[in-house]
Amino acid sequence: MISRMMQVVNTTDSLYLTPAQQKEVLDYGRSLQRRFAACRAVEAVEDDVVEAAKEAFFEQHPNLSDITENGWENFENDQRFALRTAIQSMLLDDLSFAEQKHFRSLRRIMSFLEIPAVVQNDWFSSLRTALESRVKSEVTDTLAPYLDTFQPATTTATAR
Amino acid sequence: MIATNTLAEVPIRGGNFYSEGYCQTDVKRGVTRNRVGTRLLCLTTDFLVGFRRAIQEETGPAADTVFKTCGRKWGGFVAKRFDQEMTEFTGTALRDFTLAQFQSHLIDMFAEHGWGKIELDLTRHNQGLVVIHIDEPIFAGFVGKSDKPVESLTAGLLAGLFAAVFEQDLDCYQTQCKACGHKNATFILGLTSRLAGVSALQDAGKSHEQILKELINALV
Repeated sequence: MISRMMQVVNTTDSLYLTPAQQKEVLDYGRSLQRRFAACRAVEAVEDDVVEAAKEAFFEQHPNLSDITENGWENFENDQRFALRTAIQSMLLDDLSFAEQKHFRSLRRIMSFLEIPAVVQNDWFSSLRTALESRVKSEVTDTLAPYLDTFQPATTTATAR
Repeated sequence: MIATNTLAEVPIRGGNFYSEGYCQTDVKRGVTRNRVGTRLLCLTTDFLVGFRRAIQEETGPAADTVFKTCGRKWGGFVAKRFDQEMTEFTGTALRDFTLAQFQSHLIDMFAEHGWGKIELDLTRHNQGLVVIHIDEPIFAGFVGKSDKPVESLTAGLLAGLFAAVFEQDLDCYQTQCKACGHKNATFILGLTSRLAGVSALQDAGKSHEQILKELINALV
């Protein structure tokens, strides 16, 4: 895990940090209190969020309860893990972290299970909607760019 | 009941084992290891070129057989490591993975190790055949043009890996090759007894589709 400081230093290519780069690192440092507050707020509601997301998703797609035979227990775990990965992404201020850590492989697994892309999006959306209704707006604002990484799938899952 | 662990202390198993941070190099000791401690080495193109040429010069016409045998043994070890690492990371034995999970982790393993972008075509699985496509396979990038497939090491790797994972006597033949002008490398995986005639079909100049058709028709 490369810290934000190291990311900036690595881009300077043996030069001293410019005032703009110093500001970037200081701004990130100052934002940590807000980021940790958002993290604690999500942690407090995680159980409710995952339960509500699951209910909303199956209300939307009742026929997909068959997924249980293919490992829904893992999916429910994955939804909790997806939330935590997005939070870690926010703490690191790294938009690609969640995609690399989890979302890309998770979407691939769902595609292999022949879950259409639009339904995959609903899976992520149900999680986001459940979260946003349970935390304050300032927490949502902090999380927004990282929840945006719950992006619509850009490739269409094909039936195998 | 009073909770003894907070949510922050209870890890959840999951995620992409091969995501960023998979490799860590201790430059003081000159050692690279993956996230569970397996030692890794980076092999450059010049090594692979020299290795391939040395095997070809030393073994002549038997080079493909040597590569395939090496690959098969390698595949067996890869399967063992894959099983151990996945079990340790996910808390689930590899044999208990869904096929979807297995495929996903396999794709990431190949990609992260630089063995190419692998894709499994399971549409003929009920006929006992799996077609495997690999984009950017190990040798094709530097071999240049060839009149026969060049990825015998990878064919052996696939045979050894899948044979160990599924505990079956499996073999694998490359039927399309980038060095021969195809879009990517294509392999057919199946029972050894089932694929016994593939080599002869290839020598007779049969295409991938023709070989598949012959194999499927032989079942009927």
